[in-house]
Amino acid sequence: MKDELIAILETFGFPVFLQGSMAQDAKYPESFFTFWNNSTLDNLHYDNLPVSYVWNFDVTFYSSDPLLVNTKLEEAITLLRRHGWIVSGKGRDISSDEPTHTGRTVNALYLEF
Amino acid sequence: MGKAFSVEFGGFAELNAKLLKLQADVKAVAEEALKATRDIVTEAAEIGLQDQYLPAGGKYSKGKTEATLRPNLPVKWKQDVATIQAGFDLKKSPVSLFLMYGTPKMVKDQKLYDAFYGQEVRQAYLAAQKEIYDKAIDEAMK
Repeated sequence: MKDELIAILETFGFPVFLQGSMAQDAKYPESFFTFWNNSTLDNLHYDNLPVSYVWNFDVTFYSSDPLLVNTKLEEAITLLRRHGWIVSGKGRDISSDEPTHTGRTVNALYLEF
Repeated sequence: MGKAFSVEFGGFAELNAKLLKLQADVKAVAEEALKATRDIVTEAAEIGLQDQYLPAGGKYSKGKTEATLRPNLPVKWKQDVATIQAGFDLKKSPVSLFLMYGTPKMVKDQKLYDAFYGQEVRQAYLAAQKEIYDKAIDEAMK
């Protein structure tokens, strides 16, 4: 499911990273997405075996352009929903560890059957 | 950073109606259940602030973040709906937010995040809520 998520986010033309994976001395790209898999819990069982899972991700967009921060995550939410993802709300602001960049994050779920 | 919690275990409406019928102090029972919820979440957050879950093994700002954890927030009533908050005082320090969500250069503290949003902690406080209601019914029936 990670690959599917990355593929969807990459359609926006920005780099996509795993949250926390950038080197301390790396320079942030102007704009980029990050993702993080919070959990992948069993959803349904049959014959004592899981037959469905809930993938739970944080999806975050960071940019040095505050306008993009506000609009791009909303576009990503719309696209994720179109691909069957369950996204609740429009996200929340999130700080970055560089003063040049701000971000917005949202929680996205996918039911795998 | 805080999150509001309510009494929401499965079967709550039925047990609450039963308590009302038994003329028990439903407000006190709700407050006890919410305080137990807050304590379970706060305790889980304290575990999430242990060195092994923190970035760089807790080398940075651990004590400061612990000090922003608000352990005794009160129950709030809005008409007949009660909620309680658990979480951190961001006015003192925003570090808990960085820990909860990570940054592009820092992996998030999953254990801390799960204290507020994870299934394991949720199941624990829902079970505690139900136990408090079951006990209140037993006592009201005596």
